[in-house]
Amino acid sequence: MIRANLLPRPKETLSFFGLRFDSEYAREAVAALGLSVLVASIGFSLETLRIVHLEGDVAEQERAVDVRSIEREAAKAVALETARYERIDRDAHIYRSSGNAIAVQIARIGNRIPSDVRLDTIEHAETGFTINGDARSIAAIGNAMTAIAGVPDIRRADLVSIDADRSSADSAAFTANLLSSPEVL
Amino acid sequence: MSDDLSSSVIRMIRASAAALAIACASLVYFSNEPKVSALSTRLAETSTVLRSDDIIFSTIGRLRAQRDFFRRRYARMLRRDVEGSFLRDLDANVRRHKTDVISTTAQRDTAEGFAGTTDTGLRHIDLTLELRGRYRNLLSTIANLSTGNQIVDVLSVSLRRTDSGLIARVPIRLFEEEPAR
Repeated sequence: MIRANLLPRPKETLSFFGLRFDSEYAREAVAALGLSVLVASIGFSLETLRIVHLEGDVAEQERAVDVRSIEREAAKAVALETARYERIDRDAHIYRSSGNAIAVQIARIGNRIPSDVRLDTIEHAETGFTINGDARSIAAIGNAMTAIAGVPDIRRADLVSIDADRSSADSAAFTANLLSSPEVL
Repeated sequence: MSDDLSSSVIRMIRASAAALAIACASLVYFSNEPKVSALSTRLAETSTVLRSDDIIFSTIGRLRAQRDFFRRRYARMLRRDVEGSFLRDLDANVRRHKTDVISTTAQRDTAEGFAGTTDTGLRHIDLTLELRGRYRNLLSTIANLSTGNQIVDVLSVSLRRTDSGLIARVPIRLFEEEPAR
């Protein structure tokens, strides 16, 4: 006759600090802790490897940057000097035509003045020119103003004054402002 | 009943274990992230410097040639004795166009004897010339003032008729290279 004990095996327990735990739960908990430590260790190792690799790359590139520093400074100096000369060159082209530009402007004005009008001064001002002169009649001054207004570089010719009350009765002095075109200024 | 409770506790322990593992992995990742980010940024910066170096070094020959060309061109025009050189050219200019130099006045606002410095690092001397001559000759002289061996900016011109003839007052600006310190 076979006799079998069909009663469930009594659970093994572990006791910590007076508390009793089922040993199966304790095994699960230890396994869980172990898994966590393993995951953390693998993660830490991978991260450390990544950082070491990056640090190596950075160090290598910084060495390359340092090696080229003298050459880079020299190149920067050349580039700055060339840029400066380019600006000087641009300015110089404008300056070299400045004398001719003003002479041509004055010539254009002078060439339009009728023969019965005499210019005493042509003054170059910030906005254009101021002219003074005299003529035998006011009509001649009017003709001169009309003629000057047709000069290509002159945007406007404004008469400032006419003084006909002079010792010589047959002449009238005048002053006019000539506004240059913006592109000429 | 007792088996159900047991399996629930085990499931809970396993879920907690999974959560703990994720938390540990996250902790490791996020604690290193600032360092990794800083290193990656540095790496990107050095790569940019090296790439720009490559571009600069590939064009440096052309830049040097261009600089040397400008240096040669302006060495004579911006030399230190620009004033003397200008006066010699002015003399030739007025002789050629039959005009006279009545006066030249220099404006020197600085202790070193020049009027100012441009933003391109050139020093300038401001001179006012008074010339006398015939209308056509004066205009020819003025037109040639800025085309000599110096960089000259003719700032303005005033013509005035006097008893002694037609007089042109011409303020000009002469440029010279600032001496190397």
